[in-house]
Parts: sequence; structure tokens; C-alpha cells
Amino acid sequence: MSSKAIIILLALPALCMAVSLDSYFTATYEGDSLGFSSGRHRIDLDAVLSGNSWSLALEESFTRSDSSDIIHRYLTCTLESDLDFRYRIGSVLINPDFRYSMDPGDGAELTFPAAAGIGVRKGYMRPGFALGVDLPGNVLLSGKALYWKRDVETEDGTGISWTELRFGGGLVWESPWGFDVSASGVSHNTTVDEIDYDADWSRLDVAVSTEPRTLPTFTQVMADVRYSAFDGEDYLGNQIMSRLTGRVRAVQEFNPSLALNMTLTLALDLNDEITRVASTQGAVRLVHHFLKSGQVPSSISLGGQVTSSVVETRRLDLSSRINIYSGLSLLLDIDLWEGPTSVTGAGLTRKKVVLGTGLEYRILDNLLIWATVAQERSDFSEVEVWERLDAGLEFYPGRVHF
Amino acid sequence: MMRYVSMLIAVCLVLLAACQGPADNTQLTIDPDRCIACGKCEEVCPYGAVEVIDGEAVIDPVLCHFCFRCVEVCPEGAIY
Repeated sequence: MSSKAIIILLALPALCMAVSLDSYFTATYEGDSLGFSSGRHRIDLDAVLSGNSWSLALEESFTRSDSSDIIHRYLTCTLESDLDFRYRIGSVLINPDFRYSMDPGDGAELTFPAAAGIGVRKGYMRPGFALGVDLPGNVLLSGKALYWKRDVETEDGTGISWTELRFGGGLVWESPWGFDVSASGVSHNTTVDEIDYDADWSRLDVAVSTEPRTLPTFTQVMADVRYSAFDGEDYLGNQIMSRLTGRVRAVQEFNPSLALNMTLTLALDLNDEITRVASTQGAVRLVHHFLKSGQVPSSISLGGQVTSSVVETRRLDLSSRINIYSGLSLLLDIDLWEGPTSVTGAGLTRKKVVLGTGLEYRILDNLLIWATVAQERSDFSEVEVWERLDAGLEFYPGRVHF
Repeated sequence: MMRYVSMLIAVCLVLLAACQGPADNTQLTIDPDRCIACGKCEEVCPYGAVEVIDGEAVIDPVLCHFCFRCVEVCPEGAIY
């Protein structure tokens, strides 16, 4: 038997291995408060080719958005390609990936670090490599490296050499006693030769989190604590303080259709000299599901969130999805928001009210179409009233085997 | 249930009382549970400090200038 025939016979089983193809398409249009006219368009195309122990995913996205005289959006047009390959050999997962982003237009304005002026960013390419290993005793070890090569120019069109490098890794241990322990680290370097900028920062994290515990009162509780030690300086040259963050979440189920979600978060920034409250956040959400006999269950949700850090943000929202017939549902949204603003002349805070309604049509898990209209009232130096339109389509044709 | 919540609130208040007030300059936080990776924060940042990596927005603490544009635009209230 010739050597070629032997090679073909050896390769034949591999060629006949089952391969499946998943594809996904989404297109969205948003008119938001940042633009008066055409708003924001986004198209995503995703496809996944997979075998028994490997997968290759491709994501393509195009975003185009406008700015207004009041609020400026700096990244207005991007085309991104993301290629992700995963291969598992026993307990080892190998994951190289590559991302390419470009601005098909004139490029977005970028303020250089170290007060070095204004430039134009045209995109970047970012290869990456990750490795994961499942070890005995419910331990997951992982490592990742990312490299950015950015396409940046000065205002007069001169090219800038802007590179970034990030290394990270960690391990997670799922203990047999209902809690997980994790430790991780990341190191990041940004270098821009033309402006003599070379900045490093790194972080070490240690965290403990509990698995959900169900109390006798039909309450599920979970908590996590994380300590992050930073090494590096912020843009003003101050040492970045370490942070201790604690969070408690509880879900109270009153009956199978009604549940209350509560979250409390507290973060402290600390160094050798002082300890400061970095942020506090409290959030609650009451969700009621009803009319479950239809294709899509109806629901109504009332939520509120208050955060206090260097700024304060308050939010209250009411949203509902009411199934009318088959896959057709009526959408209602009310959103009240108060928080910081960067708009010149608007004072320190901005108050915003958004009232919206719309329709959604769903065909099983394959197709989702929706459109909502809303009116936004924002209180700047005077009340600005904008009409907003959100529409989208998600299409999942299903898995093809060959 | 209410007893546990009350105890938790009391602990938080004690911790708050023991600490100095909010820092003049501190890192912003992104809640990974609320972040939907829409990319709006990345669009409004004039310093290139925000990027969506692996389905989650990430802020570079060195490039961040605390202009709060990302806090203002986030539709999920995930940045604070």
C-alpha cells in the first residue's frame, strides 16, 4: 500500500468527525440621548463551528453612532472582528484569540496621557492567548496574555507607536464546604514612545464567595468579599489605593411568581495611612411573573438603585412585558435617573425621565423582533425633550450538523 | 429574614462611621452582574480608558480621568 493511501486512511476518521455550525445574527437601531438625529446603529454577525473537543467562533460587529451639540461621543464608527479558537485536551483548555478593530471613518478623537495633547485613534489589533487547567480537588488554574498594537495619529497625521501588554492568571478552588476561594493577578503596561509615556500598573486579588444558601424563610443568600492590592499611579500621579469590597445578595421568594432581589455593596479604599469609603450601593428589584400559559410569560419588574461614590446616582425603573397573543408582547418602561453629568452648563447632576412603550414578537428561540418608542426628558440648564426609537432583530437559524 | 437584613445594615453603618468620607479620587467600579457589554462606555470615553474585554467592560485606572461620562451613559447603572 502506498504511503499516500496510508495517510488518507489515517486521516479519514478525523475528516468524518461530526462538525456542527451555529450562526447568529443581530441588528439593532438605537436613538439615545447622546444624539438627536440618527442615533446609534449596530449590526452583529456571529458564527460558531465546533467539533467534539474544539470550537472556532467568529464575531463581526459594526457600530455607527452620532453625537449632538450637547453630549459628544468620541468613538463614533467601529468595525470589529473577533476570532476565538478553543481546544480541550483532557483537563487543559487552550484558547488563542484575535481581535481587529478599525474606524472606517475619520477616526475618533483621543486625549493623550500625560497631558500630551489630542490625537486620533483609528483602531487596533489585539492577539491574545489563554490557558486553563482543571486540577484535582476542584481547582481551576488559568493564565492569559493580551497585546494591543493601536493605530493612533497626532492631529497633523503623524503616526504614534502605542502598545499595551497585559499578563494575568489565577486559580479558583471550589471547596466542599459551600464556598469558593480565588486568587488572581494582572499586570498591565502602556507605552507610547513619541510622548515618552511608559506606565505600569498591577493588581492582586483574593476573594471568597459563598454558594447560595437557602434559609427556612424561602430566602436565598450569597455573599462575597474581595481584596485588591494595587501597585501603580493614576493619571494625577497618586498611588492607586487598595480596595476591599464586600457584597451581600438575597432573593426572597414570596411565591413561585413573586420574588424580591436585594443587593448591598460596600467598598473601602485603603493604604498605610488612611481608610476611605470608596463606594456604597444598594439595589432592590421586585419581579412578578404571570400569564405563564402563553408562549412568552408575562412579567412586571420594579427596581431601585442608589450608589454613592465620588458621585451619587439614584435610579428607579418600572418595566413590564405583557404577552398579548402567541409570541406577541407589549412592552412598557419607565426610568427615572439622577446622577453626574459632563455636559457643560448643566450643573453637577442631571435628572432624566424616560417613558417608553413598544412591541416584541418572538418565534420560539429562533427569531426576536422588537421596537420601542420613548420620550426622554433631561433637566440640564433647561429641560430637553427627545424622542427615542429602539428597534432590533435577533435571528438564530439553528444548529446544522455535517 | 428581616433580622438578618437589619444586622447587615447595622454592620454597614458602623463601618461607614469608622471610615473617612468618600475619597477625592478613587477608582470607578464596574458591576459585572449588571454590565451587558453594550460598549456605550467605550464610545463616550475621550481617554481610551474603557474597553470591553471578554464580554465585560474594563477600566484602565491609569488612563481614567474621572470625567464620569461612562457613569452617565451606562444603561444598566453598572458603573459607580
